[in-house]
Formats: sequence, structure tokens, C-alpha cells
Amino acid sequence: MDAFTQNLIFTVLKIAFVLTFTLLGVTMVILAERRFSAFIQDRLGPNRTWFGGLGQSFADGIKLIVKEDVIPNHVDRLVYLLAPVVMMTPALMIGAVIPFGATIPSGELWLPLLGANLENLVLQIANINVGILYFVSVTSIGVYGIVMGGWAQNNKYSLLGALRASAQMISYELPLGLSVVAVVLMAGSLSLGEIVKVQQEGFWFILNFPAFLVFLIAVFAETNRLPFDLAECEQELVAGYHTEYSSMKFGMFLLAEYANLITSSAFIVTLFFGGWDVPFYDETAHGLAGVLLSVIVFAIKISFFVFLFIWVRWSLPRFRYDQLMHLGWKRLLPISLATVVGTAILMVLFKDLYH
Amino acid sequence: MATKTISVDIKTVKNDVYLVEIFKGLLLTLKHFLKIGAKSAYLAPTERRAGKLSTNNRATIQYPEEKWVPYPQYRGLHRLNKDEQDRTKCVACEMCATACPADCIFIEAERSPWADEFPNDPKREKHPKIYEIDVLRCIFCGFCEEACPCEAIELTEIYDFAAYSRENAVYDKEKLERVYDLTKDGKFYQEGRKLDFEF
Amino acid sequence: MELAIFIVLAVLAISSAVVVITQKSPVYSVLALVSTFFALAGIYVLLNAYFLAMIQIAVYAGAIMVLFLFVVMLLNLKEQYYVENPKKIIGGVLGLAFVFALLFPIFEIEKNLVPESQMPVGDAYNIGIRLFTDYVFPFEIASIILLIATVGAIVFTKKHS
Repeated sequence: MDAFTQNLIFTVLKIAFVLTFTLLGVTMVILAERRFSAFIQDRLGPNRTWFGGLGQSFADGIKLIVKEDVIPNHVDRLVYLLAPVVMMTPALMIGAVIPFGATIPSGELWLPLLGANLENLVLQIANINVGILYFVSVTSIGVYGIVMGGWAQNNKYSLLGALRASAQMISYELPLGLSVVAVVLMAGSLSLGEIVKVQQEGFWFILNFPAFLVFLIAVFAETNRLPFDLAECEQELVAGYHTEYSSMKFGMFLLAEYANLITSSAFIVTLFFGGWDVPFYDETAHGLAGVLLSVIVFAIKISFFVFLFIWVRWSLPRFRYDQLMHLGWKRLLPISLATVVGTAILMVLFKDLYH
Repeated sequence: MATKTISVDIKTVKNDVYLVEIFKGLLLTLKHFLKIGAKSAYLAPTERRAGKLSTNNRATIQYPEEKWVPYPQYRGLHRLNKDEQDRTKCVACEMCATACPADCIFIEAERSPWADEFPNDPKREKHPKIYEIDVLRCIFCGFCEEACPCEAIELTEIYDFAAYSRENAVYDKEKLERVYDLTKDGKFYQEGRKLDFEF
Repeated sequence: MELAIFIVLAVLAISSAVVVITQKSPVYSVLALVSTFFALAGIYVLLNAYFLAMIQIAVYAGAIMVLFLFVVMLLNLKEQYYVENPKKIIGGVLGLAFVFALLFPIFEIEKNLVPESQMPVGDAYNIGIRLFTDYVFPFEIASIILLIATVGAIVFTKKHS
């Protein structure tokens, strides 16, 4: 078997793994959100389906799929049908550049069917050298789903939701990008594999706390999670951009929101918490077991940030629109600029210590 | 309670940053999360369903296993009261049917078997041959209860009486008197009783 | 394989570009322009210009077109009709001039062809080196022009007193 076929097979396997992880993760995160929000509000949440409610998301999914698909008469059909797809695609695309485990050394994989001359297997679908830019651009096109959906429904509230979403995305893209620049400065590379490697050999970039804070807040805004969910606030805009979506089209919006949640958490972990790095442990020491451990540790780190997203959502009230803009332009932007400059200065000062 | 006016000076650094306040809020919700989450996490689903989890910390009532006990003035399913000798108190005066805004009560009167026992009480001369309440139409306003001159019809605390067919949702005299037997001590839900006729 | 991808992307880019100018609804035009940008980004990737491709998506598709869409939706523009004849003629002349200006480099492409093995990878490192050595003057000029535009925008928003 030649190298090309081998690569192809492993890439397809990796894609399958990442998609399965994301989509299964989505069902679990939806359940977690409902259960955890219930606990926070002194309730119990869904606990009947299967073991303690584990099947709830699947049951809901089946319900959404078999529901009647209503397309209102006054909508712009083409854009209306396209919007959920446009929403879903970037959410799943982001997973392509995230390294989700340590490299499997050649000779460790026991796969007799595929031949013996395996190369080192990098657990990342595409280690492109502009990985971070890929993340920034794909998150920035995520807003099109919201805007198209909001506009196509041809009603005031959805349009307002879409307008808010687009303005919010543009505003928070800047702090997001600038706080990422600080990480890029520290890592010296735009490739995510390289960033994880630098953190593994040195320290986690959480040490650059201001950049982390700005990035965290900006990611909250980019994923449209409370306290930044002005695009869909129920009280003012009757669910905003997906008011007139029903059945699985609505389900796609929901799925995309939670897929975004998972991939964003994965990015926070990759950029600031060493990705799959297991602290004080050499992943290559125990062969395949060490690699497996790194994947599991990565999943645990993601779970923590997903929990943080849920926790914050059920604790904080929503921003008013002017407060949102105030925070974005007058607070986060200067802080992120200062972070970039400060990081650069510190890196020059402590150059010997670092590289 | 009078409205409390507080003035917040947004210009101080503490109020402008409000990260500490966010953190405090997060801690509060975390406390609630742990209180319920930790307790329900270690219980097996079957135990949880059986209502083993103490009700002190949670608002949820696990419905089919545990049931909410309504307060005394709750307006639920109707009942037809009976006197000490098991004779219906109703005299078929049709005051309830007249008062009913939903027009869900149907009464057909006849001379009661015990009419001779009350020579001085013209009221007990009649009793309902048919007394039907269509609970699908009923709005549970309690006007029938108010209108009744001899306290024969009353609304009980029963709230779960869904039916599988429209016919079963029409409560006749036998059913309404059975409801009286079940609820006369006012402990329908405390004793864990169930309506024992066909739905 | 590469040729097939190129043809798909090129057809997508050109057909979306045609939709941009023929579509009467402004929102459709903007969305078609977005798809043109995506196709262009794909062509950049085929040219090994990864950095440019990502910047194309992040800046043009992700920020500028969102702003366009924002304005179009905010103004709630109805379907636009074709402009009157004098403007049409001017526009046609300018468009033709632009096409001719584009044709010259296309005919000169043969002279500048580089074998694929020597083609530089357009990642952040290479572009950074070129920008801050060979092209540092145009780069700084561009940033000053952007600064002037920003200052101008702020001046416009201030009330005249």
C-alpha cells in the first residue's frame, strides 16, 4: 500500500472521529445544559429517558426530524433553506485544524491490514500553517447563517436579531483576533500543531492571562452565548433569527450553536491550556496508551470549558446593546491592543529565558 | 414593601470592571448546582424516580411517583355529596346548571325514593335521575358550588383525571358519588388514592 | 485533479460575479459576492497562497461583506432597477478600460512563469519577510491611507460646532 492511500485512509478515519466526537458531543452538551441549568435553578431536569436522561437528546432529535416541516409563505425560499446549512457548515469545519492528541509514533499502530511501513500519525486532520487564521476566518463566516436566516424570514424581529448578530460579530472579531496575536507571538507560529508543541515543551499560555480573558469574552460573543445572545433574546425578539424555523431546520440551528460551543472550547484549550498536553507527563513514554491518555485529557479540558459556558449562561443576565458595544470597543479592544504590545515587549526582554 | 432606591456610580473602577461581581454570581450558582447536582448524581435513576431524593433542596416534583397536594380551596374535579344515609343531597333544582357559564351540567329530575321520609321538606321530594358533568367543557370556575342551595355539588382537590375518550370524560352520577367517597376526608393525595373507574 | 478544482472554482467565481451585477435584490447581490470571494480564496489555495486565502475570507467575506449586508438590511433596500442611459454608458466605458488594463498582465504571464517546484509557499513567514523588506514603503503608505480614512470617519461622526 502506498503512502497516498495510507494518508487518505487515515485522514478519512480522523474526519470520522472528529465529526462523531463533535456530533455525539453536541447531544451530550445539550443534555448537560438542560441538566446543569436545572441544578442551578434547584430543579432536576430531564431524567427519564434511558439511564438518568441520557437518551433525552436523541429522543428530541427524533422528534425534530419527524416533525412537520413548515415553510411560511412570506419567506425568501432560497435563502431560508440555505441558512441552516450555512450555519452548520462552519461549526463543523473548525474541527479540521484542531490537534486532538499526541502524535502516534510509527510502529505503534497495530494495523496489519494497512501494511507495516506507517509514518508517524499526527492526530489532527489538517496541520495547515495558517491554522489560527483558519479559525478566525471560519468563525467570522459563521455569522452568515444567522444573518441569512434572520433576513429570509421577512419579519421585523428576526431581522433585528440578524442585524444585532452581524454588528456584534464585527465588533468582537477584533479583540478575538488581537488576543490570538498575543498567542502567536509567544508560539512563533500560526500552526496549531506548533502552538501545542511549544506549550508542551515550555509553559501553557494561560500565563498570558489578559489575552486569555479577552479571548474568552470574545469567544462568548462569537458563539452568541449568554450574556451575549442578543441575536436571539427571547423576551425582546421572540428567539430572533430562528423564530419561523421549525422541525429539523430549527434543530440545525440548535446543533450548530452547540457544535460551535464544543469547537470554541477546543480552541480555548488549544491556545491557552496546552491542547492535548498532559501536565508533567511524557506522552511518548508509553506508546499508544500515552496517546490515548492525551486524547482523553484533551476531552476533559474541553468538558471543563463547556461547563464554564453553561455555568456562565445560567448565572449572568444579558447585556444591553449599548453595554455590549461599550464593552467591545472601549474596553476589550484597548486591552487586547495593550496585551499584544505588552507581550511583545516582555518577549524581547526575556528572550534568552524563552527560546 | 417600599421601593428601595440605590444609586450606583458607574464611573468608579470597581463598578466599571465588575469582574468581582461576576465571580460572586458564579459562586452563588455553583453553590446551588452542587446542592442539587451532587445529591441527585449519586442516586440511581430508579431510586431517584421513587422519590428518595429529599424534597428540601429542589423545586421539582417527580410527578407520577410523587404528587403535589393542592391547597384546600383548590378547584378540581367535582363530586356529588351524600348525606349520612348514603342518599344524594342533590335535589335536582338545576341551579348549578343555570349558573354554569360553560353549560356543561345536564340534569334530569325524578321523584326521589325517599320523598316520603321528608313530608315537611319539599326540597327532598326530587332527586336527579341523570346528573352529568362534561369535564371537557367545564372551566372549573366553581359557580355551581356557589349556586347550590343544599351543598350537594363541590369541587375537590383532584387534578389528574385525564380520559382516553370523550365518553369517559363525561362524569355521571355514579362516578361523581364515587369521587365523594374517595375525597370526603380530604386526604385523596396524602393517602395515595386513585380514581378507580374507567377513563 | 487540480485543474478540475480550478475549473469548478473559476466557474463558481465568474457565475457568482455575474449574479452580483444582474440580481435586482441587493441582498442576493451581496450573498453572491460572498460566494465569489470564497471561490477566489479557493483559487488562492491552489496557488499555495494559504495566508492570502485565509485573509481573503476573514477580511472580505467575514468582515467587510457582513458590514455590507448589515447596511443593506438596515436600509431595507427594495429591488433596484437599472440605471439610466448616460450613467450606463460611462459605466460601460470604465468597465471596458478596466478589462483592457487586466488583459496586459494576462498576456505577459508567460514570461513570469515559475516552475512548481520553485513556487514559494505563501504563508505568514514569507509574506511577512517580503512586506517588511521589499515592499515596506507601499505597506506603510497603505497603513497611512487607512489611518487617514479612520480619522476621516471619526471627523464625520463628530457634530459640527
